[in-house]
Amino acid sequence: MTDLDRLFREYHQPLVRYLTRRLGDRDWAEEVAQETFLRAVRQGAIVSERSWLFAVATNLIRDEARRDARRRKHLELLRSQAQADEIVEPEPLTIERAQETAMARRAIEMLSERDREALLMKEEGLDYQEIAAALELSVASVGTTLARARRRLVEAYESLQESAAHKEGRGSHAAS
Amino acid sequence: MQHLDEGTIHAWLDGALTPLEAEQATKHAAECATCAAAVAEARGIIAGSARIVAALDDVPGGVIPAGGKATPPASGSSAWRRLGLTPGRAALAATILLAVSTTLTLWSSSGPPSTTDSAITATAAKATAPATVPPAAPHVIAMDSIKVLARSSGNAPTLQKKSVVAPVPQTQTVAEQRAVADAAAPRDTAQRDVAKPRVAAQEMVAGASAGPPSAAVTTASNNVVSAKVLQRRADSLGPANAFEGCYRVSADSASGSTEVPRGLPASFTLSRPSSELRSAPRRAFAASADSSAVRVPWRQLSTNQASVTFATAVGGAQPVSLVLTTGSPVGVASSGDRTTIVRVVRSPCPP
Repeated sequence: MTDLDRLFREYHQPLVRYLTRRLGDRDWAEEVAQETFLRAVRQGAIVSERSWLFAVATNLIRDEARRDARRRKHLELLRSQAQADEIVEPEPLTIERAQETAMARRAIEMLSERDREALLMKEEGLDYQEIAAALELSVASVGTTLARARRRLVEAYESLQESAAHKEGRGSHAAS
Repeated sequence: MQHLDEGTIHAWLDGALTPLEAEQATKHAAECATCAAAVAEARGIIAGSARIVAALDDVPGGVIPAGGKATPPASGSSAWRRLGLTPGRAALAATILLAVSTTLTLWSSSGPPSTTDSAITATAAKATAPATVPPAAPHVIAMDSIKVLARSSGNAPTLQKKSVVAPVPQTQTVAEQRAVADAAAPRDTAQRDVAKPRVAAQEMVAGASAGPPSAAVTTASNNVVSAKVLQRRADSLGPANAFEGCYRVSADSASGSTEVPRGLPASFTLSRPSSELRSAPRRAFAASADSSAVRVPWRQLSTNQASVTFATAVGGAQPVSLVLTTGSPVGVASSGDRTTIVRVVRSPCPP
């Protein structure tokens, strides 16, 4: 088994999941993951494979974001429009689930980039050392970063829920 | 003793403290009510955030728990849940109501419908019967039937040649047809299912009372919207012709590969998308493997990457997908669980 095979077997799935959660687009995530593995092969020896892969993938996202922030926003808009117009889900999403997913996406986008990446990496099973290495943080600050990220995510989500419930209540009041 | 800070509590709960630090934290939390409460809150936050993150994934139905801190409170849950309605049921009910009210309104305003009208009304009524007709396309046909009936009764009594099927252009691509189907089929979203009857009802009332309708048919306008979305997506990806041309594939010795994965042709051509396929650049372009000249799908992933899938094009081997990057002499070929770096270079196309 080649190094690429092994890397791919071990890390492709968590990396793509991390990227999909980060980007909200499976195709884009696959693309970034492919590029990451390509760079890993060219890199040769890597000391900490998981943190290296996640760091490179994260940097690829950031680079692209810097290069073309405007276009990405445009694509996000188009993507959301297209998703609203598509019915190619493997199984139909319920309204509740679609709302939860959209709300979760909005809440996660409300975090700072570093908080978001640390949180998503932790959810992918990276330990504090790996997160620190990938994000160039001190290990001691990872706990604080994660605590802040988690609290803000939950607060943002609850705030979005309240605002949705408020709108819904206003709508039903107006209807009656 | 100093209280545990939030970062330390999270690190402790994540198992990231050293054994000594963890022991100290455990001891302190056992003795300090404030910190014990903070730990309990942190546990809730960790669980809540994990569930929110998981909600970003495509998960099967029913996996996301209904209760807990991060889920909507009962008072804030949607009216659909409170009323026990599903979008399909609601759409069906709205359609039945609409059909009945339309028939009654038209009967009372312009007398009994003509023979043709009756036929169409029967079609509409049949299409809305829940026990005999599946709740998908017939729902839309019923709506269109009603609209046709409403328009005709306002002014012109003749409508024998009027089609009641949603118009579908003959030159549509698969993607466009899917978009049309998307626009026509009832969705699992309440807004869409409910909006259609509402729009149709407004058109119907306008048509019945003031002559010819002023608005376009809902389905047709949805088609236009879908086509526009597809076109905008196509435009946003940039020109696909950056990838057009002929390519030669060989083993990439630099990465230790000695052979090209089976199923990958020695050369292939990414062809220019035909004009009718331009609106679906991510799905419907075609490439041809030189040996068998079989058209295989390729799609543009981004401005600088494209993916070609050689399904069974060459030798009946396992499907191989190849990701190309502009300006890069190598590509990533994936087949099953194997991934291989291969050299992919442009070559002159045969005349």
